[in-house]
Amino acid sequence: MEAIGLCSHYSRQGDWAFDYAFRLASKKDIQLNIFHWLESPFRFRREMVYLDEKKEKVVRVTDELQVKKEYELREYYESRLGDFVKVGFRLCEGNEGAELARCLHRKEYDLLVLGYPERGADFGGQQIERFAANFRVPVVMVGPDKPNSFHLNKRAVDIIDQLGLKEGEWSLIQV
Amino acid sequence: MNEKSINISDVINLPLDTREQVKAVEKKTPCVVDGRLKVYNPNEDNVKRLLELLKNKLSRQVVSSMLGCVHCGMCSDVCHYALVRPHDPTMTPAYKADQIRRIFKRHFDWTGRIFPWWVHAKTPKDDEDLNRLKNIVFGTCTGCRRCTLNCPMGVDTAILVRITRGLLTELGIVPEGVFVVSRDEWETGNQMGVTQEEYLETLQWMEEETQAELDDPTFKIPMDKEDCDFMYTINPREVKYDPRSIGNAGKIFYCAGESWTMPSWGWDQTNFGLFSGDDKLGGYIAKNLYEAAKRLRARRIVISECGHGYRSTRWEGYNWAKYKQDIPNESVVVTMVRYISQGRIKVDPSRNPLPVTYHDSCNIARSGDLTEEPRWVLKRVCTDFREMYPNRSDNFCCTGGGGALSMAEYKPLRMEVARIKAEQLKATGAKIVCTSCHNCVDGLTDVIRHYKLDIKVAQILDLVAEALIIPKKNEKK
Repeated sequence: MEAIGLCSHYSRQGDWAFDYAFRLASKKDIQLNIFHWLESPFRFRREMVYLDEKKEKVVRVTDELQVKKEYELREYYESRLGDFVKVGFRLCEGNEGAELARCLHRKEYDLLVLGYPERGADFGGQQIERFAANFRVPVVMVGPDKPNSFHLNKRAVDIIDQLGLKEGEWSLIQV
Repeated sequence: MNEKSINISDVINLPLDTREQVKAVEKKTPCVVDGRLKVYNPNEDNVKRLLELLKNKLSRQVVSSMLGCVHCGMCSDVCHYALVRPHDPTMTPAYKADQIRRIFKRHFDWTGRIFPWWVHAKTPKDDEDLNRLKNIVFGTCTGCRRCTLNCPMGVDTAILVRITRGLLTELGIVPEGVFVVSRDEWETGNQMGVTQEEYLETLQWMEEETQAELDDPTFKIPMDKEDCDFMYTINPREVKYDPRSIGNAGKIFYCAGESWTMPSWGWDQTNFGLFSGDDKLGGYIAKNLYEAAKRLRARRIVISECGHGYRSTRWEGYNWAKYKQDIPNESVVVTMVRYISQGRIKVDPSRNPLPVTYHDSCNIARSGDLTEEPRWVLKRVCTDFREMYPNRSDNFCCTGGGGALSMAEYKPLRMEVARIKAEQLKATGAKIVCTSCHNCVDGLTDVIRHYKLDIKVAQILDLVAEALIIPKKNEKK
């Protein structure tokens, strides 16, 4: 394992996913790449995005907003990173699944960690369980009810000894 | 009256937003600097300029549509806007067309010159009036042409709407989304601003992915290969949001033993000129594609599943480009019919067991007459195909047509109008709605989300790829 990809989300499950990804990256001393999406309610108006996770207000993407959002992203995580420096941040646009696959093709991670907000949640236009089960690399979903509840796809199960998970903490993703 | 319905004045009085135009001027965006894409100039006499431009648009077809309307109301019987808002006369196609018709009558028809009050001839007074005109033609019509087919006088309301859009585009009086997409298309040759690097990288990625799936490292997505049977052209949405569709197409072509290629330039078969009414942009994009096929000496152009891309490339592009286009072109759905009927690919319908219905894209069915081929394919790749009613050339628009998906400001009205589509979908009982248009995929996804329907959207190639029986290596010819 050379790098971990984390889909960042400012939520309880997103925080649990970060905690796990960070713990594993520091233990193995490997790169942690944090991907964050500026989500838009529109398909083609990429310059219009939700202001925050509440998804109540839509604002225009400006250079200032991008800087602000990246700053927010770094600020959100940096205090928790301590002296760990092998961290990359990336603001992403477009479909989550397609963008993650693109980043995978660029070899930006070989283990993916996601927060698991709820059963059947939407991820890249499909159910999160279906996405994770079929994705081409090991995927670990954390949540939805407790921080030590891990859901793994088959590829992750194949490398279970590298994931630092205890027996009984994890289960195979049920589609 | 539905309490939640939008007040029409909220739409018609939406102000002109020029922030992106200002930004483009400040950044010296090339297409703006050299005047290919116009920006709004409040100091110009825009009404006078509109009249000059209108004069040049008056072909026999346009004039007959300007004069032919007898206000019988048949168009409002079929327009989804008018059907959802029967109390609102501004939603009727005749009203929308009358906005340009009254200008025509005032300046170009003798009745309007002599008796303007009698024939309701009128001139826009100022830019405020032009802005209202913009909101009517861009915000209350998806250009589906249902009204055109139902008109006993042969009035093509959609053509009048498109012409009006084109006139306003020449003045920079357009919704911001239209400006942004037009700018991207002028600057990058595709409507989503996909860079060359991103395009090539995505194809390479799909090639590797498909190699793994087929367990054959020799599989290629050929690039700029000359003398092939066909050149495959795609919608930039496939690169940006749905790259699997490129891999699926490649997988099917591989199984069929096809000789094909993709061009490194001129690959975008979509054409925002159709929606914005900008013939120059339409011609530029279409010419890129035709010349790519010529350069590669392709014997045919195959158009991936995209409604307006099909209409633009097959029917309209060479007129806009004034280009002698003699390379035959076809929808990839027709290619699928050929493969299955000739036994070049084998499919197993039991792999698509869920009930499937088909949504006819306006530009493919109503404006393109491609209605039977998609059904022929679907009946062979899934076990439970159900018709949606009405269908074929009578089908309702997904509400994402006419560039509506790029005009976020009109979305609340669009979603209200989508009620008809939602009811149509629900009545089929299908779990998958299949369409042959990327625009419709997004339009239908919006409808399904808004009305909370338990239906997934797929395209024909998705289902063919799912049903495809991949021959073992030694079986492949």
